[in-house]
Amino acid sequence: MFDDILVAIPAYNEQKNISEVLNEVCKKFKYVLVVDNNSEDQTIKKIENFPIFLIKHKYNLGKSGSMKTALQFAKIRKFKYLAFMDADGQHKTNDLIKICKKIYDENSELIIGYRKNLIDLNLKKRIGTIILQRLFSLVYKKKLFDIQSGLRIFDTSIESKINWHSTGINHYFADAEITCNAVKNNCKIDQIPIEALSSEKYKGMNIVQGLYLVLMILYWRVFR
Amino acid sequence: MLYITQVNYKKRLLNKISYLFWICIWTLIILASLRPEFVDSYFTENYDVDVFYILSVLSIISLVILYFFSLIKINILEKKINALISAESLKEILEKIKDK
Repeated sequence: MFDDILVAIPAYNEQKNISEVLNEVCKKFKYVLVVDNNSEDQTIKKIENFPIFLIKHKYNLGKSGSMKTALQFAKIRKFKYLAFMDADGQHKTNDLIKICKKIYDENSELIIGYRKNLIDLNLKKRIGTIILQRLFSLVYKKKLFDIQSGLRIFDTSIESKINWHSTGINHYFADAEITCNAVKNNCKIDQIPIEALSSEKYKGMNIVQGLYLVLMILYWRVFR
Repeated sequence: MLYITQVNYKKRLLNKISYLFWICIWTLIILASLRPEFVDSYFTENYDVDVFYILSVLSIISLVILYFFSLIKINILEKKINALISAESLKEILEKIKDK
């Protein structure tokens, strides 16, 4: 099962959580790829002994760059589906399994796991998520609950439809950009609820980045 | 700026012609800064033009244009660097897989 799915985990300085994440994921998935963004801590040492593919970037290309590298690897190795999850442990492996099963069942092109219980998020993230939800449905006329979710899976053949360009300070927006491009190009998108594991230890955007993302969503709508 | 130009010439970041060109430019700027009234009176008497006002406006326009082109260049270089790093990392792992 899941032989044509590659699970990609972009990682940067995740020595605290990465072993735990890989312990769970490697039990359920045969093909796991970790893309390390030149971590300065012991991330690489922690994951060396796992049965995974490991790509090490010589310089930090950000989340967007890691996702691009993962996609290129998936295409070279001819994987039909590419799943992403975060390395900080905020996504559960059971939710990953759910989205993988769903893509087989529904024959979708992109499945996004959305955080169903916003009450578990801190106030700042809750407000930010709601604002993004409302803005997205207003601008794109489609109701998606979590466009920035890092837990997702897509068919590698839709690369040209979802191609993302976020780099530099925008590297964190790759997930949102993929979602916006997929909607704009009429990809078959589904979403399923996942657990929201929220804690201050999980990385996320700050207010300034959130506001910038709002502007970028409008920009992508108009100019892409 | 004369010193920086000299350093960059020694580092071979500027060729001889560029070096001489920039030395002339900086020298002219130094002379105009030391004797602005000379430059101003020359242009006011002969051409009835406030040359420093025109230069100020042109400087602002030049700065904006330079900023724009620098931004474009940086974006191009960033893309090239990202592509190179990604390709190198992929090459490494594919070779490892091949060896196995």
